Amino acid sequence: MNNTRDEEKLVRAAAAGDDSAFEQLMLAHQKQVYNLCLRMSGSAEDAFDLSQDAFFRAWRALGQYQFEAGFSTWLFRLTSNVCIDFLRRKKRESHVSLTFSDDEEEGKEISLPDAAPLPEERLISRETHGELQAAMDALPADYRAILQLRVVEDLPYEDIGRILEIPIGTVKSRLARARIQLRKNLLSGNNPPFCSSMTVEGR
Amino acid sequence: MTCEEALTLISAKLDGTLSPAEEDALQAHLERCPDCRQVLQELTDAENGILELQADPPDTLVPGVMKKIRRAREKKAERKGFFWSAGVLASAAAVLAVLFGLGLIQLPGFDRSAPATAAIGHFYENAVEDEHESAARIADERDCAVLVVQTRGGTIAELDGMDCQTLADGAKLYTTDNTKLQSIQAAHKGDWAMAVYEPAGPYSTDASAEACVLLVP
Repeated sequence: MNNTRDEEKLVRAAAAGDDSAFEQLMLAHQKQVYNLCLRMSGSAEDAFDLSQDAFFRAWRALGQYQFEAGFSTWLFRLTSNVCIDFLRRKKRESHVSLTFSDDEEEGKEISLPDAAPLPEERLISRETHGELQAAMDALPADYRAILQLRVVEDLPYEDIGRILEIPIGTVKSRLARARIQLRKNLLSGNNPPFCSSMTVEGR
Repeated sequence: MTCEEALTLISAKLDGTLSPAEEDALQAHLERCPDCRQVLQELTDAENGILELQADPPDTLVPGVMKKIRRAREKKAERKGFFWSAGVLASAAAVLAVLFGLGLIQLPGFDRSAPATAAIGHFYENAVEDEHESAARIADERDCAVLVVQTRGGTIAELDGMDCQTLADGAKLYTTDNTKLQSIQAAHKGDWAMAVYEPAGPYSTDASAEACVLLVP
């Protein structure tokens, strides 16, 4: 949906109780929401449930949306929070040791667990993209989320900062770290890093 | 420029956010550094690949949410209906009580007039309808059972010293587990009005699984 005025109309109608307006909003945004959930959960089944949950919460919270940010920014933030809650719960339940990213803003920042998808849940075009998929899946969830928002959704740093509730400086540094880590994952794993100054963990 | 500095710029280059000066500086480094050139190439390829990893959502996604929305509307209408009748009953009872108190009507079994007030009925009607909403929401959001207790400002010994979150309407939300929820329910059944809210979807009923207690003033 490119026309923001049309979208604003739909949002207002949906908030006033017009369910078909909300349905149109969902149809316009389902691919973005679903793929963010897919990227963060690593599983098609979880992504389906999480997307439905995100949309349902969006429906309930429509009255709180004040048009201060774009509707998709607001929806992405809500979706990303739904996914983060899910991953935290999953982490609590499974007691699995999980990978963490290493951002600067400790204290506030909650590092997210890795979703560790089952092999059969790895999706689409396995032959051509299997390696890339595996390398993405092996990233910490916050790296997966930021790459999805930047690379796929092509969002500006400002919007990503609003969605993930982090400052722009952190958006930039996290993107750089995510890319370095992605490349590391793409290299077979046994290869030493080409340049010692590249280590992600260096603080 | 070190390789580490170049990497930050490579990341910004992929985002298309380099200033002309940064672009020149990075270019100069790339000309000297085959490793960084390779990184840029690999990441460019990887990001093109990521674009192709996108999947189409199942056709059942949107209809599923619409179904949930309709169910939520029905539930809400039921709650409203229930409280509307509860309100009418409370008001009717209050009117009867007032008439009785004034000695205008005779009720069987009562030979003395007793003071009565309509305030409790109305308070209950308004306050608890809101709590209904927030308890149902909390249950859904946290995927756990929520015990609502109308303590009218009183406290529950089992929750003493535990951290709680005070909601906008003065209700206190405690996060605990199913065992504690059940023991509070059993111990105070006769003391206060209480009700358990469950999330719409499945949730864990394990003894140690999370549960919430909401004390309503």
